[in-house]
Parts: sequence; C-alpha cells; structure tokens
Amino acid sequence: MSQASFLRNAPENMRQRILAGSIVLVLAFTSNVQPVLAQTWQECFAEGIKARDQGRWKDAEDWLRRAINKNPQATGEKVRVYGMKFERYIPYFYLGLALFHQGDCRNALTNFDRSRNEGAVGIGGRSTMKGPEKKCREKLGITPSPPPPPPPPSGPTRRSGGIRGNPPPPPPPPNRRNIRPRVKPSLPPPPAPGGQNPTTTFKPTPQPTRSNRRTRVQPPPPSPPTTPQRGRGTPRAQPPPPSPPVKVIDARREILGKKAQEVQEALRRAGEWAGRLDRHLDRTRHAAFRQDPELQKRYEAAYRKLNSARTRLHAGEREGDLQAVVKAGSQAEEARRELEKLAQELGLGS
Amino acid sequence: MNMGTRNRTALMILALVVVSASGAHAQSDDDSNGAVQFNFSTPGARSLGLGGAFLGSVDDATAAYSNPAGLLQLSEPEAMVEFRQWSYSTPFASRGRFSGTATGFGADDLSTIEFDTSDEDLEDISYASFVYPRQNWAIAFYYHQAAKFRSQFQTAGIFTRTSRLFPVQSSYDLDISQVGVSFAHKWGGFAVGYGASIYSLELDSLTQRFRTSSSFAAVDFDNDLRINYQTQTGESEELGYLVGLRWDSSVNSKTSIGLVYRFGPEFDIDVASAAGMPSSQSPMGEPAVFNLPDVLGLGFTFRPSPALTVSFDIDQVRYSQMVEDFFIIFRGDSTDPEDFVIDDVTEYHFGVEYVFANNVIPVALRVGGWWDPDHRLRFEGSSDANQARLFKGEDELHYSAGLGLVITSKFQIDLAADFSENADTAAVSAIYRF
Repeated sequence: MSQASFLRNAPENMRQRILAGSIVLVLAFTSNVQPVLAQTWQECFAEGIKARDQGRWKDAEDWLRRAINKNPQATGEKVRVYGMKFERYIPYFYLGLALFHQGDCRNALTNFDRSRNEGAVGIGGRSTMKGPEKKCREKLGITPSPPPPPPPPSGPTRRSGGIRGNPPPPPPPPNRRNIRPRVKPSLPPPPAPGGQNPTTTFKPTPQPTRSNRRTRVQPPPPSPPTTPQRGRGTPRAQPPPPSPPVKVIDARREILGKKAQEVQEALRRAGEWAGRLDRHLDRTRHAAFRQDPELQKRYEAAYRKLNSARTRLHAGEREGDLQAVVKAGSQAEEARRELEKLAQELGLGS
Repeated sequence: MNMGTRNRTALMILALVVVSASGAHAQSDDDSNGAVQFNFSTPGARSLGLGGAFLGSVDDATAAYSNPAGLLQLSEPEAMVEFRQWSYSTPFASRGRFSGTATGFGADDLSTIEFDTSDEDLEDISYASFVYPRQNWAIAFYYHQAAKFRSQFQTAGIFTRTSRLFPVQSSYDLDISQVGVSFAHKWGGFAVGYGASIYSLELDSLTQRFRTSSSFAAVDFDNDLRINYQTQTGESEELGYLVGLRWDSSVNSKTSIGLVYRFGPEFDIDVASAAGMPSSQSPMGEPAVFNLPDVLGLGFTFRPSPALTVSFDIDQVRYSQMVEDFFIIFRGDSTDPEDFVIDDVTEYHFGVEYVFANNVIPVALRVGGWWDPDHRLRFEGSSDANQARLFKGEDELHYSAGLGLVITSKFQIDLAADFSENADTAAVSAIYRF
C-alpha cells in the first residue's frame, strides 16, 4: 500500500492525528532556530522591562542600553511590553534603577539626572526614583539636590520620532543642549573632551571627589607628614603632597579617571557606529541579516563585546581596578573596529 | 546530546503523543443530545473580542488554558477573572411533516417541518487564573467553565410518511468545569507548555414522550398520556490534559505561532429508558460514556505596527469522538449505531486589535469573527423517525467586537460580545498584575 493510499484509507481520526503530529514534527525540525533577538527599540525596551520585573538587573541594563542605542530620545510614549501591559519610554530612569540595584550608584545617579532633565520621568517615575536616588546620594555622600523644576507642559516628554517605521533621529551633536545633563554642583562633572555620547551610557568620567574618597576607598592610617608614602604608579614628578596618603590615592584615581575617559570616548565612537547600523537595519527591516546570517552573527558578537566593555568599565571604576578599565578600552576598540567594518560593508560610509 | 538534538527528540515524543491520542466513547441518541454547545473558545473578553483568534498571542493569564506555552511571555504575577453570559437559541423540529403529504386533518396541516428554538440565558464565572512567571519557566492555576448549556423544548409530534412521532417534552442541563495547573518552560527557540486539570461533569436530562388521543389530535402533555421517558444523569470527575507550543519569528517578534492540543476526558454517566412516569422507583440506568471532544488549535499572530495586531486561528474540534461506540437509548431498537453521526469540524477564527496606547487610559479596540461549522448529532440511516428527531444543522458565522481599558499599569478591564444565529456570548474580564 502506498503512503498516499494509506492516508486515504486511514480512519478520519487517524488522519487528523497524523496531521497534528506532522505540524509538531515540522516545528521540531526547525527548532534549532535560536531564541528571539529583539530588534526594534520597543522590543529591546520591553525585554528590559521584563527583566526589571523579575529582578534580573544585569539583563535589564543590557536591554535598556540596546534600546537607548536604537532610540536615545526618552519620548515618554507608552510601549507595549506584552499583552496590555504598557510602560512609558523613559529608559534612562529604568537604566538608573538597574544600575542602582547592581550597586553602581554613581552611574545610577547620572541616569536619574538625565531622565529628570529629559522631563519624561515626571510622568511616571519620580516617586519611584526618590528612594533609590536618595539612597545613592547617601551612599556617595552627596548632598540632596534641590527639587527639579516642573517639566514643561509640552516639552521633551512628547517629542516626535522613534515610532516604528520612522527611524529614530540621528544622534545629536555631543554638546547639544537638550541632551546634556544639568550637572548639579554636588555631582562630578561630565568629561569635557569629546563630550558625552548621547546614544550610549552618558556616564560622567569618575573624578575623584571628597565624597567618593570617603565612601569607596579606605585611606591608610595617617602617617607623619615627614614620611610620605608613595603608591605604585604614582608619577614621580608630583610636587610634595601636604597630606601624602590621600594624595597617593588621588594620583591613582587620576590615572584611572583619565583612562576611563579614554574608554568612554572609545565607547562613544563604537556606540555611534552601532546606532548608525541599527538605524540602517531598522530601515531595511534587517534585509542584510536575512541575506547573510554570518553578518548577523558578527553584528551580535560586536554588540556583546560593546556591552561587555561597558560592564567592565563600570566594574573597573567601581572597584578602582585600572586593569579592568584598560581591558574595557581594548574591548571597546575591538567592538568599534568590527562595527565600523560592518557599517562599511553595508555601504554606510566612513 | 546537544541542545538542538534534545529539543528535537522531545518534540518528536510530543508529536507521537498527539498522534497516538486515543479515541473515546459516546453518548446516546436521546433527542436532547441534538445540539449541545461547548465553550471551547479561548477564555477572556480580550480573546472573545478577537473572534477567539488568540493562540498565537496568548500573552495574558488566559494562556493557562488557551495555550500554556504563552505563559512565558508574562513577566509579573497576574490574576484574572472572567464573567460570561451565554444566550443559546437551540433549534428543534417543533411540528409539521418530515415526509409524505399532509392530510389536512387535525395537527397534520403542514407539509414541511416547522422549527422553533429553545432560548436560554445563562451566566457564570467562566474563567479565573493566577500566573507566576519567572525568566525561563512559569506556572499557572486556573478554573474554566468548559460547558454550561441548557435546553428545554416540546414538540407536537412530527408526521412521517407512515406514522407520527410521539410528542416530546425534553430538558437538558449540562455543566462541565475544570480546575487545572499549567507549566511552561523554554525549549531552544520554543516555549513549551503542559497542563493537567480535573474536569467535573454534572449532567441531568429528561425526555418524556406522550401519546395523543388520536393520530391527528393536538398535543396534551398530560401525565396520564405519558408513554415513556429517557434520562441521562452523571456526576463525575476525570483528568484532562493539554500541551502547547509557541514560537516567535527569529528575525523579530512581529510574528508568532502557537499550537495546542487539549485532550478531553471521558465521563461515566447513566442512561435509562423506561415506560410510565419517572419516579424514585425508576430503573437503574445503564453505564455509558460522555466524551468531551479533543481540540487541536493552530494560531498565527502578526504585528505590522506596535499598535496593530492581526490574529488567525484554525481549530479542529473532534466532535466525532462523541459518537464512537454510540449508545442506543431505546431498548430493543435495532438501529445501527454507526448511522448516528457528528462531524469533526474545523473552525476558522480571525481577529484584529488596535491599541491607542498613548491615551491617558490606553484603549484597545477589537473586532473578529469565526466560522462555526455544524456539529449537531444527526441520523444518516433510512429511518424517517430518527431523521426527523436528529437532523443536520447549519454552519454559523460569528461576529465579535470588544474593548480593552488599561485603567492603571496594574489593572485592566476587557469587554466583548460575540453574536451568531444560535448563540450569543458577552464577557467582561479583569486582569491584575502584582
């Protein structure tokens, strides 16, 4: 009996079961498709919110950074997370929360500030922000900031752009006023050279301050001023310090700070290429990936490297680990090279 | 064994389970069994507004029953309750002539069958669930009303070429509910879900037949004229199962596909037929089986823009399981049980949802429809009498519309209604996220 006639002669119920089983089998043989890689900024944001809901703060940070890379404007519009669950697009606020829960108060505060300055946080997050912000300020020994000015009635909360189908606006020039955070006197200032990358972390360079000296680094016991101790790597050309132990730490921090600043710059450049690629891919509905899956793998690898560099930089700054910061710099450079190469291969110019 | 091979092996086992799902036994040829309605549509007012096209989306607490694989989409614990109202209009042949020519004497004054409907309005809590999701797994507990159906009718005794059927007075009352637990986890590129539930059946039907004073006389439902009666009764609990899969497009999550198979249980019932009046001395019923049909569903969801969702489901309901090993209720009746037929049907569901997300209260508007092919119990043998009692019905098109309101970020309310020739359904459901 041929297969076809077997099917014809099979009882109706058996035919239906064979049909159902076949569908499952087809799906089974296609199950090597890897998990979904969300592509649009809405999807990245939704994944970030889901991770937040479940307390997966590292995942939340990664997804929110992706969303910010693709759409740096905190438009405050509501984004569907799943079903009928919506969240306003205030990614800097949620990124701040994710960083706060990972113990990175410095960057959490920067993102809270940015969110406040964008205005959108006032719609839904101000009260939620108070607790973590207060804790961070206490932790860092920063005096409470004055209450923020009320958001303008029609301001950045409802900026246009960023809707699916319309590519998000290109990243603004580094010193554009509307994206530069109003740095409070109590917070370390952002680095001047090159400005901040509005599409990536918007992190101030960690400058040594009295507060972080007090909270993060335990100074060694005071020594007599006549016997200054010198740490490894301390520049020899330093003038004799009036209070040597603190100054040694200052010097270390200065080197770390300068290196971190370089890494920030490298991250900014890599982030620009990533943003350019993302906008192109969104516009073309990821046609290049469909044509060449290898391209997608390279893109994802570069993205992972970029995120890893950011994470390493944060950790390095937090722990005062210069090696980690240096390593983050080389990762950021590698990511930038690969992203730039990909962009050129896709005809996006130099 | 690598991950991909493991996934394939497991899914092949799942396929074999589906293929080897066993059949079940049947109910009887009692007149009241002609047009039983079940509640196989996916629960929730949101789903009802989408014409029941929800197997691809399943992104709320209804996933526990609809397709447990969808539970993984939730990121917060969620509780849901739904209230439904059903209005059934069950057609029956009330009077007239099935075959031959009307004589014009007395009640034999129609040359065709005249149909009437049994109209019943019912309402109940139709669904409640609680979902606890984590990153790679989720568990849910639920209650679902699988059937709530009533019908009551009286016939005037249909005439056939050679005889007149006894006038009938019939009532039918069916309740099937279930409490279950569902579990979902990730499996490579898929979400996979399983569920088990305890179904509870309560069935109570009584069909009484009356003689008339003469062949053409009008009907008088007097106890003294009662000829015989048939009952179907049952109160039993059985286990049922469901398995589901869900897959998102790997390029982006604009497209998703859901597949589910629900295994309906077999319930033990008692069926009796006796002369005279039903009383406490009524004869013991004979054991029979009431089979809740299995359902296979495949759903596609496409989201062309963040605000717009288009869904399409194909559901196969295996009503034919209800007539396997069919029970002939009249003792001594030599009718071939194979002549009693209910076809398996394929339902097509379609729905569209548009969300105005940036309103102060986000609002979702939904419309949908679905094709509900005839699934009446019918007789395909040569007996005029049985053909007149159990006849083929008509396919129906359902239209639905609904509204969703996200009152707060934690609380939403959905309203919907579904209309068709013989069954209207209205629903309101509320979801709270913790």
